[in-house]
Amino acid sequence: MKGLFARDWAALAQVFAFLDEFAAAHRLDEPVRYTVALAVEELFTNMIKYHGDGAPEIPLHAEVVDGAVRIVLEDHDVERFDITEVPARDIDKPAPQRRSGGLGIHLVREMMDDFRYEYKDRCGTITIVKRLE
Amino acid sequence: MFEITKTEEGKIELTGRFDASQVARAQEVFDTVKGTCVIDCSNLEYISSAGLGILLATYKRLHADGDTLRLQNMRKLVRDVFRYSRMDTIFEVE
Repeated sequence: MKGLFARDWAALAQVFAFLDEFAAAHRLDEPVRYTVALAVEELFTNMIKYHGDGAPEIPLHAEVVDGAVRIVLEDHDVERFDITEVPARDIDKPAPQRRSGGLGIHLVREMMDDFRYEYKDRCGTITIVKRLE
Repeated sequence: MFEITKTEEGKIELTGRFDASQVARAQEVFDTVKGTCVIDCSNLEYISSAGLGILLATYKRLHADGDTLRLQNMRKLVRDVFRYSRMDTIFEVE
């Protein structure tokens, strides 16, 4: 399945609807649905926050291949920013020293089985993979 | 769909999907919290880092006065997000 979504907070509901349709078509169980939706939300909203001047729409591809869910998000007309190289957060710090920034990327790393970034022709492509049990 | 309700007793009830598009709405309610607050999560189906960020900021504000957030009745998948983020070591989770 392929979807095309406005680089806008208001598009998040449409992204979730797209993922719900994809999950229903492939009969994905609830834990997989949840973790995939969370990872896509974190990556999509990062593109809105940090690449607001990129292309107005963000293509999203979803498929089940080789026993895994594979999601690809394309961030067109942006500078290179390898999100997979963002340093790990120290999530064991006491509460007063914790920040919420970077927490989303931490969750993507924890919950996905693969998390990759490629950059070519001013397009950052993020691929996440969640294996099906 | 996301709903946030503050009861007469001061308890906060979260319902549905607490995602990044709901931050402003949730912030308005959490900004009114004073003292230790119970949050009923029995109908909370989803939370992402955006929701966790609101809870963390509220906790920090309350903690300065010795108060806390007490989260009740979390579903397993929501609880997993707290566990992966180690937020379960900050809040009181019942």
